[in-house]
Amino acid sequence: MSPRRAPGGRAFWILGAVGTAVIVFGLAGLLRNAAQTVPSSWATFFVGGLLVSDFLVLPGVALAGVVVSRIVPRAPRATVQGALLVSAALILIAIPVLTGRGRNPNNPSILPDSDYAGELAIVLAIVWGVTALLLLVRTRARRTSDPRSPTSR
Amino acid sequence: MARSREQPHPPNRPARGHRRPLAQELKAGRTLGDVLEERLAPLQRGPLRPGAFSSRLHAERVATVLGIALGVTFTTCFLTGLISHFAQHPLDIGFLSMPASPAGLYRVTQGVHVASGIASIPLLAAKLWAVYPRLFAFPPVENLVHAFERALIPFLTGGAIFMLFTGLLNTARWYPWGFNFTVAHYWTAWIVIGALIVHIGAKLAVAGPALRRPRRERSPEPESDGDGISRRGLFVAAGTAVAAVTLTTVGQTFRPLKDLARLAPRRPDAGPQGIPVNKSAVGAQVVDAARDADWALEVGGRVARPLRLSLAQLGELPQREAHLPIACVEGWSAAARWRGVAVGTLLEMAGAEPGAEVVVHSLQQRGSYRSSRLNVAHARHPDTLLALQINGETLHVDHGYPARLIAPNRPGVQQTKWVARLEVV
Repeated sequence: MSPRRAPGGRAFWILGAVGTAVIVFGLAGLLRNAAQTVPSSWATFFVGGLLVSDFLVLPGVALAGVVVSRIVPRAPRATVQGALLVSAALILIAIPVLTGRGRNPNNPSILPDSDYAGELAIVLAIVWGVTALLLLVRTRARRTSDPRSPTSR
Repeated sequence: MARSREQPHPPNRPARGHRRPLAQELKAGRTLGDVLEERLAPLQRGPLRPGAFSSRLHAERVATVLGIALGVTFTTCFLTGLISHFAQHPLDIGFLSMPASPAGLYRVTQGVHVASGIASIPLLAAKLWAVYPRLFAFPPVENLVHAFERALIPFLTGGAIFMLFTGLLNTARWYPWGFNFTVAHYWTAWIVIGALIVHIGAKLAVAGPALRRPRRERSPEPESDGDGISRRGLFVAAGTAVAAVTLTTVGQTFRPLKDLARLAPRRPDAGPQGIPVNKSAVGAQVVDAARDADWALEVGGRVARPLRLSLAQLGELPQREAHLPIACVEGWSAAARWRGVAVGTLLEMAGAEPGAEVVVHSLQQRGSYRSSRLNVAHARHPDTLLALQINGETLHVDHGYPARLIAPNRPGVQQTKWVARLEVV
């Protein structure tokens, strides 16, 4: 990653101009339909999403990374981190159904499952079950290749 | 970060207190980045200090590969979104109007729309982590071109987060905001795609050569082992996450996987008569009107013989059966066997012109989806029905009793329920 490398060239300027025009088209559309897009509410969620991700979620991920590197031994660490990523993605996409805010007493076909938390727990159990299995198999494989042999690393 | 820190002070640095104006510095041939780096040096602490981010996942290659994957999913979302938008807000351009066949086309495009949006969530999360240090790049800008590129980045990241967040919540019918979801989601899509075009232009110079290099030379700095997950490991994990979120939700439209859709806001078989419902009769405030024994269908507008047909009279007309999906904009779909009178039959009886379009009006008094328009292709398609039955049973009131529109290749919100009147226009 070279910080001194700044963009340039013909493709940059052409795509830059086209893309900027499309952004302006989108912003103009939002403003022309202000009665429906409610710019104050729109801006709250647009900027809010950025702030929450940049100054809450991502620092949280960094912190989680530090914690994991402290408490998880080196050998299984990478696999555990991968499983954490998968778990985080599943939790993230399940938040709307977990809150149940979309439930509507006159339409039970929306969020038909009465226990999404239970479903998520099962899915996460599968993720971590597979992770544990993976680690077990890998440990076995390492043992059988005899770690004390001078030729193995 | 590749920048060398051995020589923090460039040799031509003027002595403190003798600062020249910025314009002069730039005229003297120094870059904006050099000047800013020097002047803002005291601020270079915390996340701004070099090497503040130690994870080996903050690599160009990680950002590039995830960026390409996101480019594919976002473009897919954008194009399928446009199909859905223009199906509901047709441009008056003949060849662009929604065709009536293949019948399941919209079911696929909208299913793909929601699925690729959900798949984008882990990809975007990993991508934001990979490029996070760039938020704290120091100096903040290198030159005016770089300033332009950076100034547009919030439209991309903020827009991408906005689209995925609002889209995901909409599938679960959760609206914590004050704007109209469809209108805001549509216009923000243009902002995101515009910012993506700018971003691709800016990254072509970087990503192109990085990917063209032979595989062996792609990561010139070999990864240090033991520092947790590797770049390759991240790709595997992100791919697994995409598979996991897809498998646990896509069954809401892809029936073979319905039993895996544990986290989906819909099940394709959960609802009255085994079919989901978007708006119930109670929600639409039509229960009494729909059950009124005096209900009759009107066919009017530009017709030679206006019609008024009771439910019994409709039942005596030739009936047609069609196996059609109901495919909701929110990403679920379910197919059923519908039976009723073909709209074309009614139009012929009323003496409507063959090239006429039809507005289908519901008993609903309020709501943005209380009427829908059939273009010529849909109006005349033999499978476009005023359905009275679903899977051999009389329609449940939540499915539009006494009669509902069902047509091939059409968003669910346009399959008007509790039909009161067909207006030929």
